[in-house]
Amino acid sequence: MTNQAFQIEGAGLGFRRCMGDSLAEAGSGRVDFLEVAPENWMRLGGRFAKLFRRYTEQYDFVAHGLSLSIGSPSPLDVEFLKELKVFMAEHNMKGYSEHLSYCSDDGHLYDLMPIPFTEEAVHYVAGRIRQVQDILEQRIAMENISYYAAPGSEMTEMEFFTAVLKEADCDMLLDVNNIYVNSINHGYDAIEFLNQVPGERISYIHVAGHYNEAEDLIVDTHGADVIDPVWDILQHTYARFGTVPTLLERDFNIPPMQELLKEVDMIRGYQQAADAARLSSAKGAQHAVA
Amino acid sequence: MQSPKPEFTDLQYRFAGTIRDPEHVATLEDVEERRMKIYRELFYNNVAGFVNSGFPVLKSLCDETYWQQLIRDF
Repeated sequence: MTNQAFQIEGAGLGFRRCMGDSLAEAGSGRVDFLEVAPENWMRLGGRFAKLFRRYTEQYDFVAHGLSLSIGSPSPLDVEFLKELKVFMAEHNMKGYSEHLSYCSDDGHLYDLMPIPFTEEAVHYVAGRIRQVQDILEQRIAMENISYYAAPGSEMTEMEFFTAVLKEADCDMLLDVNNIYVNSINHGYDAIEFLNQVPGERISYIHVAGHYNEAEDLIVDTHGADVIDPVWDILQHTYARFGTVPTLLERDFNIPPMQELLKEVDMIRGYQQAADAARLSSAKGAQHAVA
Repeated sequence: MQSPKPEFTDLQYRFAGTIRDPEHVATLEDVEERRMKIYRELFYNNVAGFVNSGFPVLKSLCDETYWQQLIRDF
């Protein structure tokens, strides 16, 4: 097993088919890495395949899966994983992440359901993650999802998550927006939650916007601008765990590229501020010794 | 590893079942109805989104209730 996954840095953007022209027009250097759902690009030919090749030659890419259904009662789709491995190698992808979730029972439901937080489920899911890592011959990252119900819970979300990461020995894709959404929906403190994250396992971070259903129930839609409390959690993450590569996700109501890039610039701004703060506190410590 | 089925998978089948077919599969005892409603709407709208954009003409020819029923069946 290689530890070389997720050699990315800086501020990234979730790449969608509709961005094919607009990102090229925006010029190079505005985005440090891109992320795609492999399912949406793996079997393409023609114009989109050419466009994709052009981008993967120019940018670092990571694959963020939608359909693996790691927590599903049905067997893993081994054929898909073999195909994914080839696709990732062809485009020199820097890593593969998926959701700690399930999106199918015996048939696909095309969205994310919460795995019951139980001991039995920890062993089951961790075993499957190991199986995926063996097939892909690399570490993968699991994302904390937003969830609106926790059926059959025997432990907390964080206990479940950390137990899975440890037993599977895999990385974490930390979604700060989902922490915020869940903290509202399940009534916990986002920063306290964040402080328990095993920081050494974070491979990269997601930020996104969401939709307000009610004061105590909000829905993660990736369809709106990032809001202040989410930026606050991101800053706290950098302060606690260092400047982790961070990607902006936007799936619906996609604004013009220049507006999206402003949010990517904001990520970069927070990263630079965190680096500067670390540098000045290190200097301060040196002065104190001197 | 697949057999016997662990206990939590039964919850998973019932959770997915009540999203798919709320009229015949009851919400789990420890889940609030309004939370289950979010899941049902999210999943329905997601499927409706890609079916609608894939078949815009067919949709325009169908009665709204009939169309919703088709999506639910899917």
